[in-house]
Amino acid sequence: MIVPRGYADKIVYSVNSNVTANAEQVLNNQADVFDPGDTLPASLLQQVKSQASDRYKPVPTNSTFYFWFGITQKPFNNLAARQAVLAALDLRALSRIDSGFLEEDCHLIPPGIDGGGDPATCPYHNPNSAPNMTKAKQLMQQSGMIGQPVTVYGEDRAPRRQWLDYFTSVLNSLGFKATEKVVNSGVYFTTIGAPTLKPQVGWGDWVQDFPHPWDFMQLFAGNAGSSLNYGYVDDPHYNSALNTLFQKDPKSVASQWAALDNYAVGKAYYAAYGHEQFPKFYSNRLNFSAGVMSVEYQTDMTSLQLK
Amino acid sequence: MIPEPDSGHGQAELVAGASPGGTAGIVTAPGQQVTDPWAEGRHPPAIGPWKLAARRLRRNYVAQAFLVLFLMIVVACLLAPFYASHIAHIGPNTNNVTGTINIGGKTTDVVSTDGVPIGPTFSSRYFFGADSNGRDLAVRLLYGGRTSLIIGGIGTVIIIFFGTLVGLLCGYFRGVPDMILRPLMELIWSFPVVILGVALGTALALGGIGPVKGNSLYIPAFIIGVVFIPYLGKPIRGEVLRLREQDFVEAARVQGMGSWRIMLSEILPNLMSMITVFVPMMLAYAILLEAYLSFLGAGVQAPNASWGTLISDGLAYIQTTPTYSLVPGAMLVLTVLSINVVGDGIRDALDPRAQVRVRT
Repeated sequence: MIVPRGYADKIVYSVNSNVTANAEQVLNNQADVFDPGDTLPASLLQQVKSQASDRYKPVPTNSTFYFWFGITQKPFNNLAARQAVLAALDLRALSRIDSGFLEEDCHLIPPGIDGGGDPATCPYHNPNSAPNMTKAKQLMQQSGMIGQPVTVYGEDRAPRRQWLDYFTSVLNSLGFKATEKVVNSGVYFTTIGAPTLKPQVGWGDWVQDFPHPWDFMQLFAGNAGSSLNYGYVDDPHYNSALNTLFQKDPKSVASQWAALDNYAVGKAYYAAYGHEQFPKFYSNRLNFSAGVMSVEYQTDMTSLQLK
Repeated sequence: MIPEPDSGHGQAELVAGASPGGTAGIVTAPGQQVTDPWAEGRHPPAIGPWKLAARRLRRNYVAQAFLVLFLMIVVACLLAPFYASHIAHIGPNTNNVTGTINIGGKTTDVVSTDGVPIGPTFSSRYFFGADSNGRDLAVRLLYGGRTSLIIGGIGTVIIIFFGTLVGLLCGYFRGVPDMILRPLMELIWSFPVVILGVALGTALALGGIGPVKGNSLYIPAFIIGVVFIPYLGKPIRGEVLRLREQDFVEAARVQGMGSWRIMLSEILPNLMSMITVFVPMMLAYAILLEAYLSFLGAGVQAPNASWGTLISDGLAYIQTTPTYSLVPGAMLVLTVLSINVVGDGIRDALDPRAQVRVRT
């Protein structure tokens, strides 16, 4: 019988923005827990799967990655321009950049939450297949926004920087004159949320705070403030539906939540592209099965046990 | 004293500089009559200092070899658009994450479903492989070289122009210009170059300067120029302080020439050999600093490529695809090395103290 040495008496946090170095340390048992908020780099993934298969597992979480549009200014105050971007976005590409950890979906509400949408209902194209460039280019012609300069905001941390590169490349392929603004991850959200900045478009993500669809949909509420609603969306129908549905048991109105999500996708207020699987990856010092990955708090530190 | 030729055991060949009055006898073979080029009626052709320097440089085969290498790198980088459109068929920033490529009859993902980019194919497409966005590394390497060389070149022009100007103003006028500009140069000089460059790069990358946006190539070029101005300005100032006391400058003043005319027509030509020596040195420093800044994220901004950004991007793949970082690193080393060797050759060629070499 293996008697565990017990729970940890002390937990030491080491902050390092080099994700590859962090993963190598856990792989080589020089560190114990890989931050699940980071993505395991693709260059190490095969090695992790082959050498550490007993201490690695991807865990689905209730989180969504998306690009938001600043809808109060050109060019994304134009619906056709926004829709063109959604039609041109290849969600498979974004998933590959994330080492395959994304479940592709155009909806904001993750599948693990009441009202989580069915990717098959995505209006522009199937998230698991190629984008619809013909439709995208038609929408761009219709919008009259070809040649408009656009600055895309994103974080410097991998793979967010690579997502930013890809998204900018898509905008340029549509005819925008897009450039990037890479902001340090430590100050990214305060930067884009500053009321004086009013960025045109940028990257965002949300991890569930509590298991309710409102937790995700409130990001685009008119009264959410610039620190959440970076695009300054203020749709009366959306706001009213949000307030109404919030009063009710989410299970009983799950289909209405899904419909609201579809409504927002149709209006292209955001270009959601997937829900992350977080890596549960420990060193061989820890009892892997005892460690708990919480959808709210990710690694439950109180559950960590030495073997 | 000219050594006598050794009849049976090798020959000494004395090669002298073209200084008037110096010994200039050339003995090439035993028994061959020595002809005195300074004899009555005979005058060797006059050789100016620049021609003499060119002759010395032509004899420096190592410098010539590295000059050829440098020119090859420059031409290759300048031909980046041709390579991208006619050979690789992809732009430097074009993402191709879900694309495929045919290698040996087998269709392969450019980036696999779990995010691993293809390695070197050594064919027209993806010669050095792809990055995680499916971009062709060979294309980005050449465009990155273009960027690095352009920024280095613009930075060098800024250094040479403003360094010379500041040195001239401080050294010739002294007084108020020197009191203002010299402490400014000392202040810039006192900061470590990389730290100052990173601080300026980070600040300017966000907001830009006036109409110039933060992601413009002119921003890192401007920063490199500013940071290195004292490295030329101070030596120029010292030389100008010496030259302004020379008789020919005094004569020019007496003739009624204005200060600016004296600086430009009398003093500046005498600085040209010093400036010529500094050009390759500053170019090498500028290219290196650009690589440091871009590596640290304070220089060339994404998604544009430079050798520094490519080295930085490749660190995540150093274990699986080391070529991603090593190739741009090697290009950087070869470029800076070749510039340095050529610069050494130019300095040796222009060095007035290199009068005599004895070759046996």
